[in-house]
Amino acid sequence: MEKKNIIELKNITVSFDGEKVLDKLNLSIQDGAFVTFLGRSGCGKTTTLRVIAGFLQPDEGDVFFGDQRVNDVPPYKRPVNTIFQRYALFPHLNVFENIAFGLRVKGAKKEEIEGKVREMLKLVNLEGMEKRKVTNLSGGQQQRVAIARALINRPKVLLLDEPLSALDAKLRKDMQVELRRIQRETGITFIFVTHDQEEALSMSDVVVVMENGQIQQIGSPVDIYNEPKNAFVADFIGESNIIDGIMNRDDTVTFAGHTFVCVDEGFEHNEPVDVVIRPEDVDVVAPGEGMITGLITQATFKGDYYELIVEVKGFKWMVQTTDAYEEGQQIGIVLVPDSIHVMHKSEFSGLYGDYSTFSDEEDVVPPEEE
Amino acid sequence: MKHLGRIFNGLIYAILYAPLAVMIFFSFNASSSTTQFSGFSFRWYQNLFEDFAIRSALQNTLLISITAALAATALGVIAAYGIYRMKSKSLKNAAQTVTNIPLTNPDIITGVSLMLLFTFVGGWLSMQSSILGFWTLLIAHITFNLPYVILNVLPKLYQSDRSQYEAALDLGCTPSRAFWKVVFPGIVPGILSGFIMAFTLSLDDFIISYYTNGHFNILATQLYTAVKKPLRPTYYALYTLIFLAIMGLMLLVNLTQIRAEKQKGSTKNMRRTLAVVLVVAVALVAVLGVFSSKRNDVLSKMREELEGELEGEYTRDLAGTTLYVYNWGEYISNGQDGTLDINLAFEAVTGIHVDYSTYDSNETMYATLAGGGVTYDIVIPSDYMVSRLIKEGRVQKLDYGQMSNYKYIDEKYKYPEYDPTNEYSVPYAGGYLGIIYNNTLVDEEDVDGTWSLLWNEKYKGQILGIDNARDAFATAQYALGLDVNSTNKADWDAAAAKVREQVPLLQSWVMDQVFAKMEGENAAIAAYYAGDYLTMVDAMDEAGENGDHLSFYCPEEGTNIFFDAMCVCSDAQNYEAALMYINFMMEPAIALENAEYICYTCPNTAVLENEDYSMREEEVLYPTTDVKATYYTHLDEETIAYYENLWNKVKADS
Repeated sequence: MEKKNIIELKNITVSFDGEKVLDKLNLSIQDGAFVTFLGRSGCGKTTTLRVIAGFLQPDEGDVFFGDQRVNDVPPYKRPVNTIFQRYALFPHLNVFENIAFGLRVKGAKKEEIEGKVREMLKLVNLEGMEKRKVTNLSGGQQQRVAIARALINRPKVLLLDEPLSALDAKLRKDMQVELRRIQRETGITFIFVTHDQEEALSMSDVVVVMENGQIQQIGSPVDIYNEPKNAFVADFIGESNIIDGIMNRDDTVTFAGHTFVCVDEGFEHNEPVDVVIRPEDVDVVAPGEGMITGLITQATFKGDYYELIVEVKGFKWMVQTTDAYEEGQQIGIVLVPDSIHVMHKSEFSGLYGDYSTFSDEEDVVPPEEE
Repeated sequence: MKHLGRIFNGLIYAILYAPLAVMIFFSFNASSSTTQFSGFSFRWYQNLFEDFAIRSALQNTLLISITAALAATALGVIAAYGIYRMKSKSLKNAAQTVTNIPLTNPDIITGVSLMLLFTFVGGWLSMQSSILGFWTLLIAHITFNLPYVILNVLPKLYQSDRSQYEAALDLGCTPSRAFWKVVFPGIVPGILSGFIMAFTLSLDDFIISYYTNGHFNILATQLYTAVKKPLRPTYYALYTLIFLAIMGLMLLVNLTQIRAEKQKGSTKNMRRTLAVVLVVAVALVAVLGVFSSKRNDVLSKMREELEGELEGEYTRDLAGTTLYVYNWGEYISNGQDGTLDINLAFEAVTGIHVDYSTYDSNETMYATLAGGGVTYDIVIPSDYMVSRLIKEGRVQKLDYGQMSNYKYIDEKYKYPEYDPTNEYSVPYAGGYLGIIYNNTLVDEEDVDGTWSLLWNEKYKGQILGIDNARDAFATAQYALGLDVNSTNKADWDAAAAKVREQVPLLQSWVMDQVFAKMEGENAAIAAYYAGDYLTMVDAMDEAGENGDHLSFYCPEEGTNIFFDAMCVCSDAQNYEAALMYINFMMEPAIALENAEYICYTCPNTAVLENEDYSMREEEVLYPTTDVKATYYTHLDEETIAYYENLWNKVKADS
């Protein structure tokens, strides 16, 4: 069943000071979907959002809402509302007035405003807080006010610009669930921008992975994880060992000095490829029993599993296993066909997927994106 | 260390506020002395509220400050927002730099360049009358206020969350509505402080106003030109009130700001303060307006009182027109202390409004006339300047036939050297240069009636030098028997050498300070003008001191006589009214009032013959013995440059 597209971006190009931030970007968004733009800081995801909101005019390309080209429609006439990264609540208005703002601007009647604001307060669980000053609210409460304020006008699309990045981990988890609930209840299309892959995977119907002002892959969270299109996506979503290989023919690939059976098809004969092996898909066996062998250079106990860095023919793999191993041990490795994912070479080949310089530090939350 | 720091702090504050404290203190002095406190009184405050000239200047000042501050605030907010919204960073920086330049520009350059611009535009529009006036002053004030408003508002804009504005757009506001509903409330504190700053700057400004105000008198320019008499304590009272008002305003603003910070985000208080400030300002102007509406009552009462007192014919044909008079500051009877306000009296009789402005020197007046941009009907310069104006065609011939009171001018003042054909001028007032000495400090036998007293080494450290080149050299020239109007450089060299001899004996070089020093008996001998000597005596008597400690004589070698004379400018717009005004000034009753007030030599025989004239026997004004007196003449530029240069060297070495 094909749903109709609510937003379409065609060949959007945006440059700041001569630097291309979006490069001929094409995207269709289906009505009612929870779509996430995922990418690193500076990848163009917020810019894309601002183009949709109308805060930014693309240098080239067209923006369609349904069948209507809206390039020249100013933000205040577009049927979208935005939740800003730091909420952008109006400090001189209280909770009620912040939420009522959109209706007041429209010139709605007093009773209508009363009713709708109550409805919104209920939706975001802020009943009884209407008289509070927004500057005295907690981060989570401010977030809810921002949601209510944006939804009161019943937009066709809600744009969310990293709305959870200012919240602590626990609150972030709660709000993820909350947002998903609100999206289902209202049926409004959500376009959600984040740099957090876990957030993207757990919330979205569709994930749009972006890098260098271009879309690298569009798909469901499962597709994105299991079938990354290139080295960037594979590395950005979860942990991946990305190894140079040769696709001998359909379902047969050679890498790490061994020829494996795989399930990938549709490549040229003997095409050089990137092979993705997820750390958790590696079976560790005794040295003699493996398809290939490697030397453990680092072993870290992670609670429910061990994380090993294994040197295989000069390339360092990350391997996750539930059995205990120690540094310096020789191991054998077995890969079943399903655990091998083959990708065409891309501009990102060779940049990612090697754990030679791996350190355990978490990625730092990137600064705000302009 | 802690104590030391505290003492140091205290000292700094003491130095900062001592001058103000002294001014406030003396504003309550019962006499006009600046050295002796003769008792507490509200005299000067009462005086202030009776003085139409000060009141109208104050009203003008407030009008300009408030309008300029409001306009600059409105424009400044728009400009700041424009700069804030500029897309290109380099353009933004450029705009900010450009707005900041006027801040670092010396006021005098801003003032002069604005004046040039205005007069250029005036010439270009071939305006007949003055271009300088209210509007040019307003534009000038807006110009220098603008950067301060921008400077106050811009940071608030940068502090404001850009996404709040976008959120408003997003929720359906048009850009302008988003500005008012979201951006504006956030920058109100900046707007408020910008407005207050602009207002106080406007109130304080002198230099830029001085060049651009034309006929439009404001307090600062009026005060500056008040040179013919020592500064009246009425001004202390006025500035005390202004100081207190501004202090109150600042306190109010600071208090609200502190309160607003406590309840972060609330701009209600800010808006309330802004409202209060505006209401107070408007109320002030309104109150003054009510005061000036009483002006009509005063006028009609005055008219009744003058009925039958006047000899000339004064029609009301020109009622409603304006006459522009440009005179020395503090050089006309102005209504204070129960005297007659002559300009008001003229208006009462003729219905012609006198727009009266003042200057501080002949050279200033000349620069104003020559600079263009402002025209006057009547000017009252000194002798040598009169002849210069005649030579340059800047004044026109007078129809003496229309001035019935001209008959009262003493024959000896007709056909003066400065107007040999007696066609251009009517003498106003004058006097002699002479030596003022304190007879309790100077021994009788040392007073030999010559200039040599100024060189008497016995009084080393008690002699005051007169701090202007022409007069200082003249004392030497008279003492040496040289011509004060000489164009021979050697004569000036000789005079300079003679002045150098005097330098080690001098306490200091003075102009206006002569009053305080002589009245306070802190100096024994000074060369100054006869009229000023009388003013000192009056002030000392009034303060309960002994005015008779001071004596005056015109040295026998000869001395300078000066006369200020009324002339009508060539480009006068109201010639008939000008003649009427000059005639009015010569009215026996009016001339008497004026002579009593200004304390200079009066050329009017009706006054001199009037027994009520308190100074008619005053030897220093009307010497009975023959005084050898010469006018200064207008010297050629080369000679002026030569002696000015000599003067600067003498001063530099002293």
